[in-house]
Formats: sequence, C-alpha cells, structure tokens
Amino acid sequence: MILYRMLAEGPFFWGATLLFLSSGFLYILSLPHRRFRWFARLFFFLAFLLVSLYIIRSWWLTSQPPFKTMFQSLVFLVWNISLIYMVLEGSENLFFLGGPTCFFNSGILLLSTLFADIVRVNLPPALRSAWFIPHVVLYFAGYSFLFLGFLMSVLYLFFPGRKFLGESHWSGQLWRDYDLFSYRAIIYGFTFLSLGLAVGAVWAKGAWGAFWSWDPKENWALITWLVYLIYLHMRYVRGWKGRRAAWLSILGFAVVIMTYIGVNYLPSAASALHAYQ
Amino acid sequence: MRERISFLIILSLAGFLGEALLNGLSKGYKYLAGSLLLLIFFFVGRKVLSQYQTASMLFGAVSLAVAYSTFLSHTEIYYSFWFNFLLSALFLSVFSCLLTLKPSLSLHYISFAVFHLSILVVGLGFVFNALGERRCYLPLHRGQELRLCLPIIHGRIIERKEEFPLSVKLLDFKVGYYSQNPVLGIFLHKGDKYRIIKTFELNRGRSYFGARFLGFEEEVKALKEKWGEGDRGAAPLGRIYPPGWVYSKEAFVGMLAVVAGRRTLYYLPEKGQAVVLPDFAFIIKDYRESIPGHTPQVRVPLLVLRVYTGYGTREVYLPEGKKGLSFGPYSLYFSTSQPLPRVIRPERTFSRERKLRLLRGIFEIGGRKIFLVPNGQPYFQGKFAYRLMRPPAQEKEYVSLLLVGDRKFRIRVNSPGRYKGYTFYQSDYNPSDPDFSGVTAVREPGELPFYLGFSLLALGALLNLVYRRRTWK
Repeated sequence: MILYRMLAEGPFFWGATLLFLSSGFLYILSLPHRRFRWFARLFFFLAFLLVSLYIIRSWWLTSQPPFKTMFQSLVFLVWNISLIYMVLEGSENLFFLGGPTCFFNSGILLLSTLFADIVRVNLPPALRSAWFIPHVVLYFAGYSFLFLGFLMSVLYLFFPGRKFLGESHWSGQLWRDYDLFSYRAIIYGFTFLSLGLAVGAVWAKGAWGAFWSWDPKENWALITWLVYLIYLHMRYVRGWKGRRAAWLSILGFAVVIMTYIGVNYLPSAASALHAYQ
Repeated sequence: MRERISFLIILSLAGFLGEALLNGLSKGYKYLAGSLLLLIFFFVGRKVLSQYQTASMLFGAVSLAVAYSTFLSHTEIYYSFWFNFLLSALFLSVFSCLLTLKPSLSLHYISFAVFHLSILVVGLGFVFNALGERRCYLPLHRGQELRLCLPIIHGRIIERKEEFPLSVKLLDFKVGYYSQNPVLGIFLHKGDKYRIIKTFELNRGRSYFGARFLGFEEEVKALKEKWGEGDRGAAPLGRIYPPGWVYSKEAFVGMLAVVAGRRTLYYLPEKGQAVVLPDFAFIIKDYRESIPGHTPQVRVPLLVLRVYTGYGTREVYLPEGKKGLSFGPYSLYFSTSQPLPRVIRPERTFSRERKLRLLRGIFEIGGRKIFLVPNGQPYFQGKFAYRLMRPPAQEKEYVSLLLVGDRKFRIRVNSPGRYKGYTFYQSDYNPSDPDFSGVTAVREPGELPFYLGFSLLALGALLNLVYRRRTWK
C-alpha cells in the first residue's frame, strides 16, 4: 500500500525519496572516501529540488499553501530541514550530518505516505488568513533547526570517534565542536519558535477572539518554548556544556515531537482548536 | 538549591491553601487576597525570586502543570487559583531578575531587557483581562435584533442570558462553498476488501493507474425530461459494472427524488434518514436488490421506506426507475445511476434546480471504453477498482452582515468588526438552519499589552540572535 500511495504522489515524490536514500549512502561512503562527497551533495540537491517542485505543484494545483494536513506538513518539514542543512553545510562544514539527515528525510517521506491525503484538502475558513504562511514557515524553520541541534547532541553523546579517537578530527570537525554547533542551532530554533509563537498569538486573536485559549497544541508549543528557554538559561547562566546540555537538547526535541504529533492523540485533542488531521 | 526548593514548596502550598480558603469568595476578593499573598512573597522572598535558577524552576513547574493538564479533558485547571498563583510568581521572578541588572546601552542588555520585558507585558495583559474582560455569545437569526447574550466563562458558553449594552441585528448571513468537481477514486481490491489509494482531479488525456480520461459528457436538462427516455427501469445513462455496489453500510448508492407539484427535492439516501413534508413523511429503512418473494432472479435495486400519511403508516418498496410511487401530491423516484450532489439545504435545491449537471466520465480502461457516473458503481480491472466520486461540500467562508447600534459592518472568520470597545467575531453556524449565525462579542482591556508584549517578544528574540551571532564572530 505504501508503494501505491508513493506512486500516486507522482515522480517528484518518489524520486526525492530515492535520491535522499542514495545521497545518505553516498554521504556515509564519503567519510572514508572523499571523492564521493561531490556526488552526495549533487544527489541531495536534486532531492531538495524535487521536494520543492512537489510543493510548488501541490500549491499550484490547489491554489492553496500545502501546509494543512499531517502529510503536507511532513513534506514541508523535509524541505525545511534540507534547506537549513545545505546552508549549514556550506557555512559551517557540517558534513558529518549529511548521512543522518538524508536517512531521516527519506524515512519521513516514506512515513508520510501513511498519512497521505486521499482527497483534495481545502483550507477551512479559520486557516484562510494572511498569517497562515508566516506562522507555519516560522514554526517549521524552528523545528528544523531544533532537529539539527538534536542530531548534533546525539552525535556528541554517542559519537564513535570519541571512544576511539579522543579529541581528534572526524570528517573535518572536532568532537567538542558538536556541542557548540548544537547550541547555535538551538539559538536559531528558539528565535524562530518565539517569532512563530508571537505570530500565532496575534493570528489567534483575529480568528478566535483570544490570544491564548489553553488549547493542547498551544500548551505544548508553550512547553517546548519553556524547555528551550531553560536550556538557554542553564547554558548561559549556569554554564552547562557537554553531556548535560546535550541531554537537555534531546529532551527538548522529545517535547517538539509531542507538540507536533503526540498532541493529536491526547484525550483533550477531540476538542482542540488546531490539530493536524 | 535547598533554599529554592523550599521556596517552591511554600509557594505551591500557599497556592493550594489559597485555593481552599478562598473558594467561597467572590472574584474581587480572590484577586485582592492573591495580590496580597504575592506582595508578601515579593518582599520576603525577593532574594530567591531574583535568581535565574528560581525563574528556571518556575518555568519548569509551569511546563509540568500545563503538560499534566493536557492529559485531562477539561480546562478548569487554567482558571484555578493555584495555577494563576504559579504564573504570577513566575512573572514576579522575571521582574525581580530584571531589577538585578544594571542598565546599559550594550546590545546584550537591550536584547535581554526587551525579551524579559515582553514576558512581563504579556503577564500584564493577563492581569488586565482578568479584571475587565467580557466575552459574550450572540445566537443570531436573520432579521432578529438582540440585546441579550450568553456569557462565555472559562471558554464555555453559559446558558444564562445577560444584558448586552448594544443592540445587534443580523441583516444577512451567507455560507460559501468550494466548487466540487467529480474526481476519480482508485481502489486496491482483494476479494471483498477495498482500500482507497487516492482520488485524482481529472485532466483530459491523462492516465491514472491505467485509466485514461477521455472527457465528460454533460447534459444540462431537467431530470424529469431525462427520465422520460430509455427503457422502463433501466439506467438512463451508461451501463453499470457490476450491479449491487453499496459503498457503505449506512449510505446507499443512488439518488432519491421527491416531486411535489413543480418542485423537486433531491436526497442522497441514507439509512434512518427522515424526510418530513406537509401532510407526508417517510423514513429510509433499508436498501435491497430485489423484492422478497418476487422474481428473485431479477435484481432491481430498491429502497425500503416507512411512509407516514394522513391515513396511517406502512412500509413500501421504491424500485429504481422512472415508475416511482405516488402519495397524493407527492411522487417518489429512485435512481442508482444519476446521483446528484448532497442536498445541504432544501432552499439551495429549489434555487439551483436548473443548474444541476448530469455527468458521465468517459475512460479507456484495459482497451475498452467505459462510462462512469458520479457516485455510481465502480469498474473493476485487475487489482484496481475505478470509481467516479463527487467529494462532499466543504465550507469556504461564513459571512454575516451585522447592524450594531447605528453602524453596519460585515464580519467573517479572520476578519472581525469593531464597535464601541467590542470586537465581533464570526464564531459558528448551523448547517441545518441557513438563517442562523453565531457571533462572539469580546471586550478585552488587555489587548494593547498583549500586542505590545508579543511584538517585544519577537524583537527580543531577534536582538538576542544578533547578539549571539556577534559573540560567535
């Protein structure tokens, strides 16, 4: 069924999934053999291009931004993560993240077919607003940065080179730098979350008449924001670094997943104002 | 650490104690007592409150309380005394932290101050709202003027009418729908099990899982004219492959038409559906493929109806075809081959009767020319089943034209109207009552602090990012 659903989404979709998968293997291969790096980058860029074309096509066909359903939002998340990864790889030389990012992206695209939209999805009146696109874009940019921060924290904690190579280089990076990169990614992520939260509150006032309605989604968005606020305070004021900061970053991302997906399965979700369907 | 944990425990105990002691008091006294308690805390525990670790612990405590509350199905927790007390303590802590800093013109100080100030300003908005907010629900009918409303307390509408300071009249109300074209549904079938893969919007000449779309044949004619053609009992258009398809246990394939004089009402029949007309009513009981005891080898789709007339009730069979059944001025017809869009309101049916489109899609499947009618039977080819479907109507917008006091304005979702301190929001509507519009009126004294607070939050977040990036360089 997954295969048929994937085929039904068209060549842009399954092409991107296959390219991400191939790119992931090439990134892994490129760690010992640098000559594969160029191919890995090319495949990654082509996959990103196909996802972009898929989103543009969906937008064109429905004349609406394709960010409404769980399926659409997962595809958009992949697009965001890919874009931010490419920028980070170019600016910070974070090559070691390529493999995990590619496998995550292809996994998400495969997983999204389980939630694939069977019928055309139209925006309900509440989502037909000028605030819809900035709110979603800011949040997904935030989630993407937080994902990359989480990935770097995981690598910092469970990095194989740490055991065997100590502080030595691995793919052009020092092990201790992953902690710093994670911190930077989280600062960006937190900035986007704050902007998304502010935009969402202003939009909620226009649509529902209240800035804050203690809706489950809003509550978990607040919890995510507070957890990363604690992370930043602990890091800045208490000087938390290394393992403790990495574990807090992993906890933060667990809360992000709860906000993004877990909220839909809460008992209070039935009366929620906004949940992905 | 011990000092801070003790402080948190005392704070929680004070909150719970306050909750228990103040339960019987009115809102004003509660706020007064809460403010006094917080003031005492501020002066006694200012040293602890002004520590970042305390603020972080309070952030954590609020997170835990909010996380816990999302596992409950009610929202009372957010309006409880102890929760508001906890929030107030958090705002006090942020305020105390701000006081400990020495003001300067450095980017570090400005970003820090703006960000933390934003939290305080948002908190101020909450306080203002708690003191003077008013939310009201106005259940309006077209042409009706109201000076009474139903209060909304803690997010719930209370069924107790209150006086509203302005007169509100609903002059007009409209619901807009997205246009719905037939789509092709592709199913994967194995024996009796069917799973849908996807529906496709159709483009001429394109292929969808082996089905090439050749185009639509459209006839804009009155339905009764169409039924005058063809063989007795046969489908007016196209052939049905294979017979006897019922796509759900509750909804039956086909269309039911009730002709009353010059008017015709259309229904997509569903089990248990009741149709009530002057001096006549019926309930759709079931769908069958032949009349029991009558030529079982001939399969004729029919509806089982329970009919209520002025003379009594009886069960009747309404077979598919042009013959139909007559009950006084009413004639009932059933067809499985020309179902029409779901009738949402009878008024729409009357006015749009002439616009109804009778369609059939022409496809090339497995080298054969196949005709499919919307919501009709599917065509099976290999492991796929192809069915032309008409998606259900989806609302695009609701628009109310209001006369508030002496001012007339239009409101829709995401576009409220304002008048004399009140903001009017389009809240809901009733699909079965086209004249009804639910409007919420809100007076919110904390609106300005909220807007200011969220703007500062955005600014503070951006300044913080700029400051951090500079330190990286």
